[in-house]
Amino acid sequence: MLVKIDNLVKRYKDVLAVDHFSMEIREGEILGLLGPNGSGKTTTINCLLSLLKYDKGDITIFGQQMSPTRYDIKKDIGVVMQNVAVFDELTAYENVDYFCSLYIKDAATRKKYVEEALKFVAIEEHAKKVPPKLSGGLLRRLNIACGIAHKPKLIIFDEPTVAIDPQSRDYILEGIQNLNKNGATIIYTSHYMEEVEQLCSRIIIMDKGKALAQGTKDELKRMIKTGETIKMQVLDISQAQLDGLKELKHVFAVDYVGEDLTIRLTQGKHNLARVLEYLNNENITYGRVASELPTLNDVFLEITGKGLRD
Amino acid sequence: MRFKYNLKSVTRTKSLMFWGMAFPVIMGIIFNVAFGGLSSGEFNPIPVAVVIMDDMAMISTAFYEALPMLSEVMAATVTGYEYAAELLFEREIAGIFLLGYELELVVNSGGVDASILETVANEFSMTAITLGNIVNIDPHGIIAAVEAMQGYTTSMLQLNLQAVGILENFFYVMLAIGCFMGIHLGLESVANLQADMTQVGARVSVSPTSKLRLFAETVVSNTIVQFIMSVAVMLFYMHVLGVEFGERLGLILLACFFSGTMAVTVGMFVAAITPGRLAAKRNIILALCNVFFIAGGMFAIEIRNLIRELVPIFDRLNPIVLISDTFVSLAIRENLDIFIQNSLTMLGITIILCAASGLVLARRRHANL
Ligand SMILES: Nc1ncnc2c1ncn2[C@@H]1O[C@H](COP(=O)(O)OP(=O)(O)OP(=O)(O)O)[C@@H](O)[C@H]1O
Ligand SMILES: [Mg+2]
Repeated sequence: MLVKIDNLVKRYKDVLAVDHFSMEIREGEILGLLGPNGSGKTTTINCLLSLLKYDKGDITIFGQQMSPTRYDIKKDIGVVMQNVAVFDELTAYENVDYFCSLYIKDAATRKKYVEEALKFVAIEEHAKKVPPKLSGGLLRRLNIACGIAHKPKLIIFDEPTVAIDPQSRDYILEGIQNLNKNGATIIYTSHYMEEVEQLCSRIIIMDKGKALAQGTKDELKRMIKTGETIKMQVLDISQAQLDGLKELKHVFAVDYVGEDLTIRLTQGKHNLARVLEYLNNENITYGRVASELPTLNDVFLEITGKGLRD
Repeated sequence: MRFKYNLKSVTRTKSLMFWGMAFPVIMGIIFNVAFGGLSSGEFNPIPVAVVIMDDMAMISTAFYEALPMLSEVMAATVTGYEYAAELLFEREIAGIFLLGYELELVVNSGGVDASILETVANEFSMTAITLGNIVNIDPHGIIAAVEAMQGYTTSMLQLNLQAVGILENFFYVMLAIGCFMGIHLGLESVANLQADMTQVGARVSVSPTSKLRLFAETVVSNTIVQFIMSVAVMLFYMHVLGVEFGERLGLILLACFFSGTMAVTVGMFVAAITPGRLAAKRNIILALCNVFFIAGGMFAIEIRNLIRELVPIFDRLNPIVLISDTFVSLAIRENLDIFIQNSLTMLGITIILCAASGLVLARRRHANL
């Protein structure tokens, strides 16, 4: 186990930001910490890094008790914070070099690492520019380069894709996957479920400081009742027919709003065929049929009773 | 290597450079132009009006701050624009300074007074531009810094004006002001060590390099920057403006070193012991400086006399009093008693505050986010 957080409690005066939160991270995985704004992701990360003092709990990294002066642990951690943290007066190259120097003493090694980091986020041609001259996306990438240049074993990304264009975003996600392929274990926090779904091998759903569920995305989806959602357009259907639909095998919810019919089913075989057969028998005309597997949003919706997006 | 970057990041922070170096240089030039060849008393201040517009840029704020120091050159009254225009038309004043996004001057053409005023305005703007392009650069940081600094220079001068005649000691006073600005240098650099002050501070805090080590590096580099700025200002005064500092050159340099170093550590200490983010600490520094100024006799020399009687120790340790008295004593006193006494006091303060800030930084293991 690379990281272990046990029963973490963190209170800011009257706000309970993290509430008996536990998690474990295995070597080599990309762990997604998924939660809406204010759910306690950043606070958890700051406690993990010993940046914040916490009220209760136990944190070990690389099997060792973490504390602010455990430099031997800190040297193998890379952090990409939610907010951009660079010197405005230094160029991109100098920034990466400065932060890398806090980890790597040897000048030749560092030079190599800095160049690799700049190349990794593809901002080599902007190496001589100062941050105020960089666009938002480039600035985020520089922020990443500053956090990972020293080739850490454990990298923490706190919402690295907030407020950037889709192109830079794809670039960053791909980069994170490459870091992982090269051996780094990754903690990734976000409130975008698509990103987490695309990137993470395991996911923890967090809300109000608590871990509500965890597992791989398939495990999470299996946890909830919804196994399949069938959507279609129907011009006319009676209440009796709707009730009839509800009686079908595996169906547990039917909604008809406007001309949109939504049928939620638990997992099972031939669900769509059974629904269509019923509609044909009842002589109901339908169009634009779509069958959807559950998304993380459905998972989130069922577990917390609210949507993931603000 | 980090040392080099520390120097770079400080010397590229234009507001710090402005107050520590450009400002004393500009003031020196103006002073010299106005009094070139003249000795004290032969010059009647030129009457001018100053109109404050919305949206004052750095250059205008700096000019406004400089007015008390220019009182021997110009007798300035702050008025509205229309009234100023009327005065100019009736030739009761020789010119109008418009302080807005730029520093503008309106004069009746011709005449010696007009050309002196033009020189003042030009020097102020042009030197500002050449010394680091201060006028048109990124306004955010500068405006914040200027806001935090408003009042200092004016007060500083009043303090010294009361103690000695300005003409003889003008350049000493300007050197003292440059040194005192080190207080901001100190504040800004500790900011990057503390997670609760800046984002960079957070990044530094999660790294495996100890705070104490980084603190020591910052102390050394800031002290050096501060000293280099003082030396540059002094060299400029001597070689460009032809100011004679006499045989006490070495002592003046020592005074620059002790004063600047103490100012830097005062800034660092305040940054280290007070809570909150950078903006909050800038305000704390401002408030503290006001206390120093008032106690040092800024509004009335009587207050300083009172303090000296009631809490003599505070008067002895007030950084502003220490710095300005040290410089002025070099200008006007035969013996070096005050210089030696003050230098030792400043050295003592520097060592104590440095140790205390380092201790506080090292012991504060968690951030107060
Ligand atoms: N310094 C602070 N003082 C008081 N309350 C705080 C502080 N920082 C965070 N909080 C509160 O703690 C809770 C968790 O905040 P946190 O920043 O950890 O959430 P988050 O999941 O990172 O949210 P986001 O997606 O917006 O970054 C929130 O209710 C927040 O308001
Ligand atoms: Mg956050």
